[in-house]
Amino acid sequence: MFANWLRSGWASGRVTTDYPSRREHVLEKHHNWNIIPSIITPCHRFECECQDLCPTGAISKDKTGIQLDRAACIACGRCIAQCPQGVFAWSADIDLAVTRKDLLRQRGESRHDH
Amino acid sequence: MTTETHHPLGDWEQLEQNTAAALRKVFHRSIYVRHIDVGSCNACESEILALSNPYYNFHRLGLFFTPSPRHADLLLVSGVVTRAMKDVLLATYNAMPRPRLVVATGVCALHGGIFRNSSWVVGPVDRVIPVDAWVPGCPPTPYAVLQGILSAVQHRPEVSVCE
Repeated sequence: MFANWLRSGWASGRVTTDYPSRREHVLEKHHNWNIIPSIITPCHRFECECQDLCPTGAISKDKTGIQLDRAACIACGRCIAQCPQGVFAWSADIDLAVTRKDLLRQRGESRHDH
Repeated sequence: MTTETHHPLGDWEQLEQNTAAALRKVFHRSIYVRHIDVGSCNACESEILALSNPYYNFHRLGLFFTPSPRHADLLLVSGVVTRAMKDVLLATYNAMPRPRLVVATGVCALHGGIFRNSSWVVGPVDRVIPVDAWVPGCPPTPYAVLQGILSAVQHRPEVSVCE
């Protein structure tokens, strides 16, 4: 029993993960994961109401564009499913920890985000 | 989101090296983590417990869980602060020896999430105690929690006993 368990661990080669030295090593393993929504194009429409779609109020709009507060996003995916312009898309970023809370606000203007 | 705002701490290799230097300087050896649940739905607890399993194995980086805040260097808070747990959170924070670090884990601890408008909720963690690192996600992956702990250590290398 114990020998089988050891053998299966050695055979699969995945007993313990390494702490990844490069960010890309983890991201390419998880490239198809739906971690958190991300703004992929800027949006200046005021006639639709994606602020009301969001259950936690993570999306806000003003004259400068659309903002997504990742500190409030619970990744329910309603904005991705219902935005007619395709402003939001799933992102596979998992290393989102920051030391300042305002870094978690994502603005719609930054077009070179991926 | 631009690359600069996304990775203010550099790549992970650099983060690990800087953290090792900060660990030696500030805490001399390793970090003991006290985890407190102040009103979470247990999704964050599931991910935090995954840190100590053989797959993620955060002990190899010098991090350990401790059952007592008196022995803890870092407080890992999950969940939105409820009225019943506010005094407990403050007592836990005051029981910790200095220097002490706080990491808020999960959307509830950062913002309130879906419980934000509840009348039995005090608010996010930073309304009660100062926070050094923020880990978003509902729930955050164990890698994100690990990165939050490491970046909290690196964030305040100048922290001293007197604070």
